[in-house]
Amino acid sequence: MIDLISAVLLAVSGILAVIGSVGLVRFPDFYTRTHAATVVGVGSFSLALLAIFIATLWSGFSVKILAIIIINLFTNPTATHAIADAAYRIGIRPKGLVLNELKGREGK
Amino acid sequence: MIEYLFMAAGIIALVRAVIGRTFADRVIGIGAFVNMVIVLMVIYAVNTGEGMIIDIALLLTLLSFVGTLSIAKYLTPKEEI
Repeated sequence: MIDLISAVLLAVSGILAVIGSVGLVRFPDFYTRTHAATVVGVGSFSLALLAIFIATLWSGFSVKILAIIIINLFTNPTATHAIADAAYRIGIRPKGLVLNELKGREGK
Repeated sequence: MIEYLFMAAGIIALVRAVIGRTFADRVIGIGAFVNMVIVLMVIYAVNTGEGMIIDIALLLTLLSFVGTLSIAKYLTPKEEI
């Protein structure tokens, strides 16, 4: 039963990784690519490590794997938000922008 | 068998890091590639029973975060920090 749950989680994680990477190449501008990168970095990463955590539940590996999952859940959205904020401030704009409510308020 | 999917995802993410047109695209591509490398390192460590590689994966998670934040701070114009 545990093997079945682990295998299903790992298969979903691999499919999400490929979907996110193809989106990272195919999407038209930077801000949609951050969405695809978050699919890879949070969805696929957390599901894969959760599958390995379930499979190795009572060995010496599982605590460190749980630490990696929790640290990544905090740090990866923070890093993506920081790089998107920096990209807005240096002048990268979304493709086909019609209304910019942040205009003139960049420094606040 | 499943690790070929992660390898393919990492290589496709590295394509974006190579062709990527703006600076921030390269950072995002490198971040996705490093995440896939961490998953492959954990799978390898569990398969072969070497516990040291999980410590390296933990450090690589923290180092990827610090690297991305430092590049974001370097990209921001000076007077707005």
